[in-house]
Amino acid sequence: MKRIIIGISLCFCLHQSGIAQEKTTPNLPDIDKIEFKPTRYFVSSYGSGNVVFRDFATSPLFYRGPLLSVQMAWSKYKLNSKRAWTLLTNFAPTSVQLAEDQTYETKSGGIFSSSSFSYAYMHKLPKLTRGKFSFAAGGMWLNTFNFRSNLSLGNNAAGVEFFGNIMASGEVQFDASHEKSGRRYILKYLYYTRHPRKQHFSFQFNAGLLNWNYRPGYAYKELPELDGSKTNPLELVLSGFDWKLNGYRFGTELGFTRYKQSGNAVKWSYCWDILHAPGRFEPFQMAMHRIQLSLLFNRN
Amino acid sequence: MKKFFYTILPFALLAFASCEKIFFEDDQASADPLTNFEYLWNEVDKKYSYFDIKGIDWDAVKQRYSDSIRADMSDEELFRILGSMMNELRDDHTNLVSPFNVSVYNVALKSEPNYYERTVLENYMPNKQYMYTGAFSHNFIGDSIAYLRYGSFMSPVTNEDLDFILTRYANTKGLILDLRENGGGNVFNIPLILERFVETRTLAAYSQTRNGPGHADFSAETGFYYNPYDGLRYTKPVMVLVDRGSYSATTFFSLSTKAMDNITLVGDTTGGGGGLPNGGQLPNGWTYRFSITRLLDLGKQNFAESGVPPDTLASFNWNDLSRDEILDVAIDIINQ
Repeated sequence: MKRIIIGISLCFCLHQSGIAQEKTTPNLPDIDKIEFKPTRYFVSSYGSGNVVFRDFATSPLFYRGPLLSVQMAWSKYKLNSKRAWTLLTNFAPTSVQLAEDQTYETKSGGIFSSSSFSYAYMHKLPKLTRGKFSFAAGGMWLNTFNFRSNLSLGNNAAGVEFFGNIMASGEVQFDASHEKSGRRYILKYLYYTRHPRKQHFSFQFNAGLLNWNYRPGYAYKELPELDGSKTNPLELVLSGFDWKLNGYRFGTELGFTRYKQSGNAVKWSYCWDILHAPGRFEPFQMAMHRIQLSLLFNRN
Repeated sequence: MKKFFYTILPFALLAFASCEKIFFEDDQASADPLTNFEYLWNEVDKKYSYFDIKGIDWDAVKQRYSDSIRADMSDEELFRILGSMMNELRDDHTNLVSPFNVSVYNVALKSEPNYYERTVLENYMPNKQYMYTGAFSHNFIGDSIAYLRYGSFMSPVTNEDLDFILTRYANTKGLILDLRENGGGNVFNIPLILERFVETRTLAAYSQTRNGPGHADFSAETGFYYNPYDGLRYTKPVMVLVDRGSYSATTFFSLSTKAMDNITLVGDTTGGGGGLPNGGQLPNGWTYRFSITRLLDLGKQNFAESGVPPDTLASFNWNDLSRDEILDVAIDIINQ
């Protein structure tokens, strides 16, 4: 009997301790510490969205297509700053957008790919921090290379351009963490159970301060000196291209990041990027939208 | 504050994020005939490379054709007018491409053809047979002359094919390369062939690209060089047969032979087409192309567009299909 009472008591205690464990805040890392102690992340991102572009050198028409993207980033968070090296690749099949009153529909399209390499640095602005809001400012060095193909454009079927940007960046974060669990009622009998979590919303805005582009010459294609069968294909493709400092570029990212106990995190974000590169003669314009899932792996 | 943040900010940002229409100029897609006419005329005016050489008054062309443009005209009517306007350039590198038709100038139809394949095959080839190696059909004429037919520069040329052919004909006293009715194609097939016939690095032609709004605005001349192939080469006399159907890359090839002492051009003047054509699109989605570069010989003369004249003039006699007079002239030169 004594053994039975001890056994039941032990079960009850263990059960209670289990419940008590659920009700207290788990041993989650504090968000400030996660974010600002020297922490390294490898970030793997996958996105989908759409792209629209127009190259006046070959067509006055917009080309659009569904976009797939893959991004890798290596980031480092310090007490008051963070920095990140990022590689991004986008790919999209595209088709021309014609006027609605077109009698015969021209089939014109191709592929679009855009690859970017960037380095970003953000510094926290403690004086602006208010409650759950925190602010940071910094800059980004962004390099983008586009390759496009559209066979209906004959000898201009291949489109190549390069964009470089020095951008000013601003970020606002809203700490949406909650440390206690509990039920959250939507209606009287409709509720969900909220567990303690570290998470935040963020919005980043990038604006190009210095925008340069490498775009084709006057006639788009130009014959360079041809060295017979030893002609360098790259020289042929890029002949007549010229650097020009003009245009603009903006980008935004609205994100929601949720941290795991392991220090890893998952981030959902909506990214928008727009650029206008007049070049020397005829402009190129491009905008990309994508929804992105990022997996942040703590490398500490 | 929190509710405000959660509710307003995402919508505001999404609205902002979709606003490229504010940043970009209006969509210029249009099926309007006059808009498309103006666009095409302007593009040609800005970039075409042979106005001055050909003496084309492009403003007068606009005047003449714009009167025919009406807002209610059909696509077929618009195509006919735009295609005719493009043909005023007298250039086979000029096309307008719609979903239902392609405009063509067709320079080869402006003169008599000078090539009939069966005459060569039935009267010159042993057992009326060619050998087919890659893009080339070839065989001996007699026992000491090689005949090679290359029908299109669109067909890829490989060093392996050329090695086989030049090994087979290494002991001949001359080689005939037949490029009649070869309408051109990939210019990078040109050096693959010609570099088998040069012994030193050879400057053979110049090119200029239109680079400004004036009809005579061109870049500096850039050279076209040939380097001796590092392998099997053919150093004996080479006859290249051409006619008016020898166009574009074949004209480029023909002009280059002028700088090579061991090569003789035989037949009729080539069709021209020395300019590299671009590619573009109209607001209604139709595509076009026209020449944006021009080809110059070593004396900086631009006769390439009206055709490269042969070193020895000869023409095909269609009243006697048992003989190919152009081929006979080439054989005679080798046998001399």
